[in-house]
Amino acid sequence: MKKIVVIALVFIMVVSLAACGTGNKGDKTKEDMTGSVAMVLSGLITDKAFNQFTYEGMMRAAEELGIKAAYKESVTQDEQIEVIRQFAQQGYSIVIGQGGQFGEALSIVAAEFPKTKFIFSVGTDTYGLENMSAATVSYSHAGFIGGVLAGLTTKTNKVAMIVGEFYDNHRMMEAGFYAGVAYVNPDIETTSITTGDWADTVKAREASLALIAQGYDVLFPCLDAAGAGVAAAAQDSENVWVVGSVADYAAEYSAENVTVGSVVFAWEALGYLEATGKLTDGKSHIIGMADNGIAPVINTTLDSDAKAVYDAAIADLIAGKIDIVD
Amino acid sequence: MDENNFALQMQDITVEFPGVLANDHVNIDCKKGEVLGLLGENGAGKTTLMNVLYGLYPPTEGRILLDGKEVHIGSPLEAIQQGIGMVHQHFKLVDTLSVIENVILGIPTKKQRLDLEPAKKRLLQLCEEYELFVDPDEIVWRLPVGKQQWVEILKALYRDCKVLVLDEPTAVLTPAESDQLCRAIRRITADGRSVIFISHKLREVIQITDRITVIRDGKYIGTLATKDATQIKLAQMMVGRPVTIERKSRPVIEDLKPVLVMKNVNAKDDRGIQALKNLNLTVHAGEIVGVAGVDGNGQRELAECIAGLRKPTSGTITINDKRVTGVIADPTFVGFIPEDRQKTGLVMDFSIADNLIMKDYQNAPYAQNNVLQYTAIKKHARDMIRKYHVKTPSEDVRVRNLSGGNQQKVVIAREIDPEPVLDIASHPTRGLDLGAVANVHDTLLKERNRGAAVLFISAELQEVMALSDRIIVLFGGEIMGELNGEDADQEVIGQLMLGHHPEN
Amino acid sequence: MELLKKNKRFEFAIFENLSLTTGRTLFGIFLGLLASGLLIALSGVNPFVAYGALFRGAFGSMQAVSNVLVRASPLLLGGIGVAIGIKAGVWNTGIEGYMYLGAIGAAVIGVLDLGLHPGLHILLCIVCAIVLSGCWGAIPGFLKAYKGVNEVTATIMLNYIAIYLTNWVVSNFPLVAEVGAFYPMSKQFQATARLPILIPGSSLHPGPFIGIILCLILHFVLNFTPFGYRTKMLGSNPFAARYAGVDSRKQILMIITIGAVIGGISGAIEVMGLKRRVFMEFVTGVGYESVAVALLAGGNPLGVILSALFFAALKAGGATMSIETGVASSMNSIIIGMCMLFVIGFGVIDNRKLKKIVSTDKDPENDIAAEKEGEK
Repeated sequence: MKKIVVIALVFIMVVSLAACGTGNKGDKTKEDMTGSVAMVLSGLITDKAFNQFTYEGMMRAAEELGIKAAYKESVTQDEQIEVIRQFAQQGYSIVIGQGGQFGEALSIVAAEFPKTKFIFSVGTDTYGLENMSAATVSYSHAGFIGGVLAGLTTKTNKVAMIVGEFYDNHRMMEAGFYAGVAYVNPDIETTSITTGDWADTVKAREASLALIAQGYDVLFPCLDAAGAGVAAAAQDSENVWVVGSVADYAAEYSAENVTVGSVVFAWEALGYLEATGKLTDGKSHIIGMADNGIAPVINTTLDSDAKAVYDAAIADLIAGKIDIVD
Repeated sequence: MDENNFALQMQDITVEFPGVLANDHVNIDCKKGEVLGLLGENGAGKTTLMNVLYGLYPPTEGRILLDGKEVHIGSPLEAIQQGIGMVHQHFKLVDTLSVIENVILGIPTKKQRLDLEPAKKRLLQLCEEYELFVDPDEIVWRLPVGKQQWVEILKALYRDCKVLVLDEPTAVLTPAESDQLCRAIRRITADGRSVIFISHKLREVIQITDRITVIRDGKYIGTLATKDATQIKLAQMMVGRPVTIERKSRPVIEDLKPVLVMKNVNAKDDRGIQALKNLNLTVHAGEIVGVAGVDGNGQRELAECIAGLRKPTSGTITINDKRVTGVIADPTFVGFIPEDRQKTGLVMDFSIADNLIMKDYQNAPYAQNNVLQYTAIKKHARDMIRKYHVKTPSEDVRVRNLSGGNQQKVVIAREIDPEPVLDIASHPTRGLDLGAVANVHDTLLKERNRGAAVLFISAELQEVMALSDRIIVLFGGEIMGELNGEDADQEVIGQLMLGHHPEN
Repeated sequence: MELLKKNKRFEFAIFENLSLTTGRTLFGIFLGLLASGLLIALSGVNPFVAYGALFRGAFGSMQAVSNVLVRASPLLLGGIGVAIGIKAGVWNTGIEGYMYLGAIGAAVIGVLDLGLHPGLHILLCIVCAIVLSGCWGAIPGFLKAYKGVNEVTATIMLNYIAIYLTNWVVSNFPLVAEVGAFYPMSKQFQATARLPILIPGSSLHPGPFIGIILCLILHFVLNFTPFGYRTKMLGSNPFAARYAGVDSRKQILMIITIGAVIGGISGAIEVMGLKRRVFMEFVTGVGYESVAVALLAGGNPLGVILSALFFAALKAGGATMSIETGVASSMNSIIIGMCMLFVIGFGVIDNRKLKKIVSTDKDPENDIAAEKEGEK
């Protein structure tokens, strides 16, 4: 009795699923897969941040070039390899892993599919594989421009950078920031602190207030949601300014009254570039000012002197005259 | 005219649980303005009966009349609406809420906003009226237990109950508080409300009530006016059996060797109250020592201390000169038939075979090289089923599916068959039918004749007298007296059970 | 004669119970798929096409099957870890934490180039994972057994500590952490410390088979050893267990620790077989899914095999479904949730029915009559 019930139910399920499964197989193989691109994301494509913007970049490229594009969002750690491999098996020419956690999984699948191009986005390691490239925006360029803006703004000659935690790219950003400040005035005092949490607004605000109390009057946060706390601290204090990074602080945290400007990471541009197939040469690419990887937004009007310094700094940066490691 | 005088009548109430007949055609009636005592031992079915009244269990049979009209009570909410108030043995208060919040909890209101002020005023009025003073704003868990009971009573009065049921209300009260409760009860009945007072303490019942109904083993025994009642008469109604069990003849065993020796044993019960006081007891090989007494006078703790399940606070217990320090799980040493077989003695979801090896599962032949030998286990089970006449189609049946009597047979087979040096039988016949009771008696007597020491605890005076070589009577955790089983007098035991020395 | 009648009724009841359990589980799953199908249709995708993709993603090819097995690995191990706890009456919800600790344990040995034979290196990693996760599990085990701390609270709190501990280890602990990474992760495991891939071109490592073997072993242990007998006795009636002389504290401590060790092995296998590194927050809810797996299996080790494979099939198939048909990736969790809800919901209803079957079975009059006959 029991067995009959089990077998009957399983049978019904198998038959019904198999029957409808065969229906849509035919048209799939006919599709043109030349130049096609697939993106694997750790978050949702509606997160109004990194995931959404890179996804939108890819879709813009797909539309312009008329190529097929696919994605899988919310890919957890245990399914990375599986999902990447599925895209490779389906014949996509380029498979992009969007985020630092995808490197290992990409390298494993890349070794299995030598004809497919893989891009490790927001990473620098190509694992020595010819068909695997890496691409990221230039954190040091972002730091440098932020440094220049901070140096031009400070009155107390003390500026500070606030980070959630120092990973390697943030170290580069820090170096860039110090170089940018020094470009304006080598005598300006600089420091950098970590809050230990990218999203904790309260912690970020407390840390900012502590810096302000020590006389730092320009803050350069590199945070996620916690950035709002830095903006709030500046708004609560007198004569304190913020130079935003990653996101546009004036728009994102309604802090236009204290924001000098923001060095916005152009995730959309990164996703676009990756999808066009220009970055599949097996090398590590760092998309800096020259390739629009960083999009500075200025919210105040710089006076003519400052404007001249700023423009010179950007020109030097693009020309490669600034000595910072990428 | 007389009919209408009854506030509450419960007629022929029968409640059946799997394996147990908790109430068997019980009748009670309670007049307006009267205090009715409901008397019976623990497990006699008092609480079950009241839970029927409160709509917690549907009765299998019988009907309930309020003010002479038949009512159907399907839930506590309906009971409250019909004017029944209940103070349970374990209070049903929300510890973290204040007194007034507890009092109004569950009263439907149309208001959107909670306004406690009018409720407080009314509560304070009730406090005055019944002299049960509590601060309406105090958080319940901060109150002493006695005060918590006031809250329960006030809660029922606040709902304007016609019949108030108090289930063992004095168990948690100090003597002064008990007197205060008595006065409050007098005031409550003075307004024409009725009170049902549940207890197994005779003194109080006689002090407080107008009439008394006695139930035993779920059966209705009788009702009498308090002015005609004496403690002894009530005690007989509570514990006596309608059928007398004849004393069993037995061979005389000479040269008795002491097996169980208890010296100055003190122990506490689960609530931390002293349950055994300086108890000295010796049980010899080849004798049955019967422990008589009203249930709840330390019998459970006595059995548990000997079996090692409860640690005495002081004193020593030795069995065959071996000190008891922990749970004794060696079935050839001590056999223990616990008083609550379903809760302690059996794993209801295990098969009969599995239950029969509960204390032997690590030993050969049931386990070899750390693997259970189901061939041996099942063979053993089939042997036991045959030997002890367990009615079951197979040894794989789960114990849950057996009747109470057959469950007890499984316990007895497991505990007695390995021929232990000491048998502890705690209420082994409770809830069994007559045939099964006789079986248990025979088994225990056989044990005695084999040369085992037997400690037989029962609240049924008749069977204690029929079976024991010696009888001790427990009262308040102390041995009130010791009698020879051959010529023990029921009157004398009855007196001792109530804490009186017959000389006085 | 009376007795004969009773025999039949007993057997019928037992037989019916079993078919009810399996039947209602399948029926619950069916209803769950039906309800999710409606939601898929509402989101604008043909549910038949979606389920077709799901089915192909789970069983359509060797690759798909290996994906299912790979995903089943942590669910099998976690599920059995929770299941033995259920049998003993404790809710061991700390699998997530044990997995992290096991992974750290494996990493400490696994990233070192010790020049060892692969078998030996792997064994050392596993032993280290067992030791670390076992010690970790002994904490809630001790708290539950000797201090009466609720095990669910204790294990969940420790899960968070384990997560942050792992974050620290993979970003700051110099022996293990990969310096200069764009995401907090450990160094790569040495080739000698990686589990072999069983089918080239897939990720199939021995993990799922280790899981199945462990389920079978624990099935045997629970049903055919004194240890298992003790465990089940403790779970079904702790009072009786005490009465029978079981040291329930020691048993609880052991059961929670064993669950932790299995969880630790699961974490170690995950990083040695699949991930090749320990990443920050690499366990994404699998530990909690294990509780659902064990629940669906009713704490039965053999049931864990089926329910873990079922979960894994839904997860792997669900990924394919959202890749191919564009159904939102959260639909996957919805399907699993719906199935669980219906299965458990039916469980409750059926339990009531079962109680009725049992209570009508009892027949005291029959009993006495039979007894009297027996005496003659």
